Amino acid sequence: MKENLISAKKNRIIEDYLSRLYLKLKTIPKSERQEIIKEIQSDILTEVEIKKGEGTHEEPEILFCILENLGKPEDVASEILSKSLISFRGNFVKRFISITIRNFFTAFLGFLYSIFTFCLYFFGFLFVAMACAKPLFPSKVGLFGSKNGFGGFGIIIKKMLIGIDGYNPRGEEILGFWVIPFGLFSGLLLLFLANIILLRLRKLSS
Amino acid sequence: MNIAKWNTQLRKGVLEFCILSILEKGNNYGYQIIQSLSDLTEVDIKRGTIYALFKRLHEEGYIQYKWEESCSGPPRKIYFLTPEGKKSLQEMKDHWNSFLRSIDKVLKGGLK
Repeated sequence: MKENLISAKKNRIIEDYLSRLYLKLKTIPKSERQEIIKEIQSDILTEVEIKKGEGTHEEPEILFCILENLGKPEDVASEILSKSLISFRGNFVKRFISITIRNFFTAFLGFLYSIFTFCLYFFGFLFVAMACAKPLFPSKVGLFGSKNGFGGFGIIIKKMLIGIDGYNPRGEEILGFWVIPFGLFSGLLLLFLANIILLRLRKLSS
Repeated sequence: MNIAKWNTQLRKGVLEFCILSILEKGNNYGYQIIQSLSDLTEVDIKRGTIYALFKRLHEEGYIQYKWEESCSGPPRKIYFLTPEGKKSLQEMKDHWNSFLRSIDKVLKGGLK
């Protein structure tokens, strides 16, 4: 009775581990995934039998030790995926279309992220530059309103606004010297956000 | 230089060569190959890496496998070398020996 309970618990732990691994391997064809899972299951059970035969530990203890040595399912999957060849076995057309669509979306998302982070850096540096330049050129630097209801910010050189134009005719300056803390705070915040996004992306891509 | 890291990289670089060499001695199943690798290379190799290497070597045609019933446990996936694998292993051995001789010359005082 006790042995049956232990065996059921062992099977449940192994099944849980393997199903997590199976999910993490979803990018490879189903038949290959099943083959890998079957092999790892066989190796786990074989190792349990061998270590049980040595008689030094109880079965649950042995199993936990084996799974710990094996590593988290996420880590095992990422090792397998990082070293696997792209396989076109099975239904070639289906695999080709699926890989093409997936890669297209990855590239498209990468493109959007690049544009987005570029904008964050651009505006971040511009806000900080505006805050730094304001004390030096008080009348030419700042945030400006417009009679049309729009605004702009940047540095005025020869009646041109370098930055975001406030649309003609340009109106009164907004915020005055408060533009310094505003520019520093919002600029640094944008740069910080851009860094966070890029670090996150680098982690994801690795 | 981080010597431990260098040592690990060096050993990992020849894992495929080691797997083929182990299989040259006889057909073997995954767990046993992994054990032999850990004992021989003395490096804590991630299991995922080994399973991926089995898969890659199989896809490239160097090894084949068959499922065999075992009297003391679950069915085992037995790997064995293909003729292509044997041929590549021989070439790898030749390169390896030539590489060792070159390194030996460098260590003994440089190429003259």
